[in-house]
Amino acid sequence: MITLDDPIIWKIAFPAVMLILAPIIGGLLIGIDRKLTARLQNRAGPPIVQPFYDVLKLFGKEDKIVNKTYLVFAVAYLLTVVLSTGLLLFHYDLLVITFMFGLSFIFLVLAGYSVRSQFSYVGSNRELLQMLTYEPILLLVVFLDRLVTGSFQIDAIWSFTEPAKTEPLLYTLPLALLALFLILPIQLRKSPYDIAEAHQEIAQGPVTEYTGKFLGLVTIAHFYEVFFVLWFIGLYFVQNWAVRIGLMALAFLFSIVIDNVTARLRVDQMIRQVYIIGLLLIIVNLAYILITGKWIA
Amino acid sequence: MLKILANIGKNLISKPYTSNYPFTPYQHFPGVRADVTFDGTKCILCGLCQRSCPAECILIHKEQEQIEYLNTQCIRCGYCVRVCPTNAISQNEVYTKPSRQRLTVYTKVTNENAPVIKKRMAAEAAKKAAAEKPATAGTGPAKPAGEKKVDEKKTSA
Amino acid sequence: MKTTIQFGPQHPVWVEPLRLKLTMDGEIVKDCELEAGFCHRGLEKKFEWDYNKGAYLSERICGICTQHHSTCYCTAVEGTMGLEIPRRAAVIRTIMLELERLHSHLLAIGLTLESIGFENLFMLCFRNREIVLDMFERTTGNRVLHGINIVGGVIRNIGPEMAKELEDFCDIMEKRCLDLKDMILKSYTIRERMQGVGVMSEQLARDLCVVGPVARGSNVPYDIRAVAPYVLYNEIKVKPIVETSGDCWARSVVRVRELFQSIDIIRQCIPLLADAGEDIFAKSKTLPEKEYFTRVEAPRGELFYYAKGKKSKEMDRIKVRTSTYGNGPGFVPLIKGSHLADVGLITITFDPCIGCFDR
Repeated sequence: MITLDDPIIWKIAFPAVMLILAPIIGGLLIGIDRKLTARLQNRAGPPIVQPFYDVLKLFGKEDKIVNKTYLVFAVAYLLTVVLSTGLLLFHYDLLVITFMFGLSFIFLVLAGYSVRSQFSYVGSNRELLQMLTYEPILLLVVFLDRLVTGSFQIDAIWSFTEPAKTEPLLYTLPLALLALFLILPIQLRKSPYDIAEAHQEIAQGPVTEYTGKFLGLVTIAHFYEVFFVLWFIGLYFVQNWAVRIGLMALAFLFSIVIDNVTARLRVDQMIRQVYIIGLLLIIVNLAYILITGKWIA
Repeated sequence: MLKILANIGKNLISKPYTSNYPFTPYQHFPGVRADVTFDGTKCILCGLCQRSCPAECILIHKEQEQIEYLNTQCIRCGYCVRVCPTNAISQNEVYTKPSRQRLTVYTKVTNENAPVIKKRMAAEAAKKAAAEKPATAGTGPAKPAGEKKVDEKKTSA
Repeated sequence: MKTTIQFGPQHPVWVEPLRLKLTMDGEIVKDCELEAGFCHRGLEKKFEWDYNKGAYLSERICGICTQHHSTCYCTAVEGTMGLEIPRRAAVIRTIMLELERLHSHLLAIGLTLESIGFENLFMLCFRNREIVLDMFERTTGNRVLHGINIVGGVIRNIGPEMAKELEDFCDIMEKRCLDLKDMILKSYTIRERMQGVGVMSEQLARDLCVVGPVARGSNVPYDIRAVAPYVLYNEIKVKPIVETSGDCWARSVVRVRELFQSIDIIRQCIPLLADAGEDIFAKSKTLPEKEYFTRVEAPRGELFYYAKGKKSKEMDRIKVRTSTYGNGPGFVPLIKGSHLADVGLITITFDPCIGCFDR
């Protein structure tokens, strides 16, 4: 007889179910995002399940295949995103998860370089610059986590304080969370940092040449990405489910509102802003940890 | 930045400005200019509208005594309404719905004061009178046909 | 690595076909070649027909400044016949011209914001523009191609009730434009993107003979309404709005400030309607025989029509020089050396209307 407190439920069954539900949740979130954005712009907006209609329609479409490498990279992009989401849900090593998530972006960049489209080339260039911008911040945030919890394992977040499961990560690393909020628009591909997919400048960036089913796969990968990013932010308050989901919702709303009140910036402006503000936040947080003596490692 | 935030907040609580278009149709204001209709009882087949139409969508067929109006080609400028000497053309206030057909409208002219029709009526009356005479005289049917041809030439000239 | 990017003829940032061949070095544009003529329709030849039909044809040169085109054409043809239009027609034409400028500028501002990825304000601009289009439907009966001007006057009168409605419209519009102005001028990201981008110096503007808001953004106070007044601008004094910096920001700010100027002119025109005569149309007794030219300040700059009659209903020659054609060479030197991300923004601030450009 398996009860709710059984570790098997929380270690295996729940993550497996969440992994299956992840694209559905991600798609719904994008649908809500589109509806809410429309309302913020005083439009009626599409129904919330519109992203699924789009994907279904894409799968029913004819494929125009540019070359086979391009398709392989689409599948690889999807698989790495699913893998990183799975690793996150099954509580694997945080550093591995971060790099795996970075690898998915690399596959997208390679896909852009593998076709003979100028817009893809420029898009891939920009995607690389974006990676260059957000990866150091993300890695430093993960590094701060490790300093506080003493391990890269996600499970350590539950047990790093002496009476276990009392103090959430948020209380020790509030500014690191703000730095994550700063790079949120890059990961969710939203204004002001949606530079790689700036459709007014370079069509759709690296995914310009995808059609039919493979564009559908890229879209599904994006659903996973949204879920991954929000779940990652949820790690900052694992002790209470209500607060955890509230934190995710806050991050989501933040990205929508920021999307609506800003214009897109240029690459050089993005690098300058994110580096200066992000590094400043992280350094202040590091100083706070050092002074209060919460440094475990 | 704050002003934009206030504005999106205002947008969020107000009703959406857009409408569910094909299901809730757009309400036009009074005085909107849509396609034109022809009044067959007033038209005198002068052909002024055909000559003044910028889109060349009005064709007057004097022999068939009808007006051909190419609805989809019309630009709704309303200039034909201005030039018509007998006010036979009127402009509607309801837009034509999108369609796959050419939507050509034919209007039969029945105005007896139109010069073309007057001539035809006169010719018909003459023919009738001519037909009655030979009928009493008892000649064959070939002769009236020949007379009709001559009449037609006269009217066209 | 040097690459060449074909920016257009079909590109998301422009709705219309124009091609820029950009030689890139990374993200920086090294060289730029402009290629136009994708929608050449041969309209100048078509103008050699009945001069009354020409008024409707001239509207179709450009969908955004229809009223300016048809007013310019009608004024030119009236000049060849020596015809004086009634005062009421002149007032109505002036009101329509300013309404047209209002909606054209709102469109231009909206598209500029959209080209830097600001969807929210783009929607707001287009929503405000919708009010102007509704006003057009009330007054002229059509939303975009109004068909109100004919040679000798206008075909629709603006009655006292309509004048009242116009006044209300001005109040609503001014409030909304003030909101819009606040949002644009105080936004950090918009300024970050636009200031110092695509700078056209005053000397360059004078050398390339650019017109309209582009010239006025570069500190060249050239406005046909002030330089060579037409219809009613003799009485209503217009002071050209000038910005000094000459970048994309200055060009956009000129447009934003001209919104208020237009509203102000409409406000000044409405009382003139009351004591103008009832005539709105003067019938011509002669046929076009002389030659004549007119200049009109369209939303994008100076618009020029040359008309020559041959003592018949058909015109002999109509020559159109549009404002976008004058501005066209202007963005090539600005694009050289700019970022790829700014190419769309720089061209959009010139308000390229390719329908006008190619004719």
